[in-house]
Amino acid sequence: MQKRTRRLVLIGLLASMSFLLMYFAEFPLPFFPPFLKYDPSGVPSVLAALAIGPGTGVAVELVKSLLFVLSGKDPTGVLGPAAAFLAGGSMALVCGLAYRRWRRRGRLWVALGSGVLASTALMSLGNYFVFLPAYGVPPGEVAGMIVRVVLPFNLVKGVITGILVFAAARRFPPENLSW
Amino acid sequence: MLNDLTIGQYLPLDSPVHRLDPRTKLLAVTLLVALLFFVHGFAGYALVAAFLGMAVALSRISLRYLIRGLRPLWLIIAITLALHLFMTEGRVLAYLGPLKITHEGLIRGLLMTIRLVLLIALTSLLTLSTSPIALTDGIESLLGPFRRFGVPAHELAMMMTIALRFIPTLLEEAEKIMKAQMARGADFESGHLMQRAKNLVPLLVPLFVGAFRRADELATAMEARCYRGGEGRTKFRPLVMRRVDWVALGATAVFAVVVAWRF
Repeated sequence: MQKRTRRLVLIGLLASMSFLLMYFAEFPLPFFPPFLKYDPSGVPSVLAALAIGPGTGVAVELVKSLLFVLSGKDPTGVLGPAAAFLAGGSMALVCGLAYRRWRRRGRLWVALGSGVLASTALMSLGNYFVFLPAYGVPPGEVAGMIVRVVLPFNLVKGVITGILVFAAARRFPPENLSW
Repeated sequence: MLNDLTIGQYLPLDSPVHRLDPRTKLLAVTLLVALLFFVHGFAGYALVAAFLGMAVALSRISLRYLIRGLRPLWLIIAITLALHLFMTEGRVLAYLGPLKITHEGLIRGLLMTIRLVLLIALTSLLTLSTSPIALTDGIESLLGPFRRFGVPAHELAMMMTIALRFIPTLLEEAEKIMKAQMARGADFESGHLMQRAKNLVPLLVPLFVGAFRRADELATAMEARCYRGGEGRTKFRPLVMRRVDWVALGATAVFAVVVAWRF
């Protein structure tokens, strides 16, 4: 069987799983405004990035976000899914890359930690230049909002996803998946 | 959970807007969204709103649906408006306790709110009048010319189609797993944050492994039917740009250029 077809199909299925998690399993976080919710949709893409490769993880996030736009399920139209892609895609990419590079002990922790940091940093930049201005937040308020809301929210979100991935990966190490 | 699942918010009606080619609609919406970021001022937004209103009327989708889509956003809209109202320096209109409302703040706040609402209504009209699968086809076709630069247009559309197809199947599987885990004492509903997140693991792991298994089966089935990517693949329902499509697209383009130039 061609690897290419198998990978293509797998990305589709994982994106489907991710879509469902984004839609059904979201819950609000304490101390954050109710429109900033946590959903575990990042878990499949990060697992895919660890098990197969960073590119696969990013593809899962891309397909999931596109589906979210097309389904019209997101009240913000394009903005929400675009932000979700930036956050999830960067996390999957960096986790996958770090997991490949780091061969020593604590491999999973290093991979997940760098993924969370990269995702938080990129989301802060993305919100500074694109998302917050697009929502109409006044320019004077953008920096403050990033420090007070965006940064902690993405950090918390990344850490929860990281813990879930860690718990899942302990039950079946990504290397052991027949691939 | 299973019964109320509609993958898109698509409303299958018969109207001139529904019958348009998905590519026409995708391009027109892109143009109008770009236009919204060019235009500054009430007059420009009013024209875009009028154009959108015309399209909504043609689509026979009741305004209620569009407005309902905005409801989850009221808090974001309120916060944006409040930030502008109270934080902008300028001619003071009124005092509200320690806060002051300025003329400039009111104008900017209203402009930003209108832009956000229009932005959302535009994409909403697209997804209300076009099914996700038609939009996927449209995206594949629009990305076609970029294939030579390495954009995997066919592969992307194929992955999206597979994902759409398997949403109900995976949902059913997820329900089955949840019930099985609940029978073993799992709790998905209560507990504090970390507890709730951790409780998801017994759901995530079987779903993930199941996706791998299913991918194997589906890939084998596809290759048994000689799937070999996009080369030379034909379509059951090819997309056709009719004259209406060109007229609609042309009208939108002219409108966008004129409004962007004048306002």
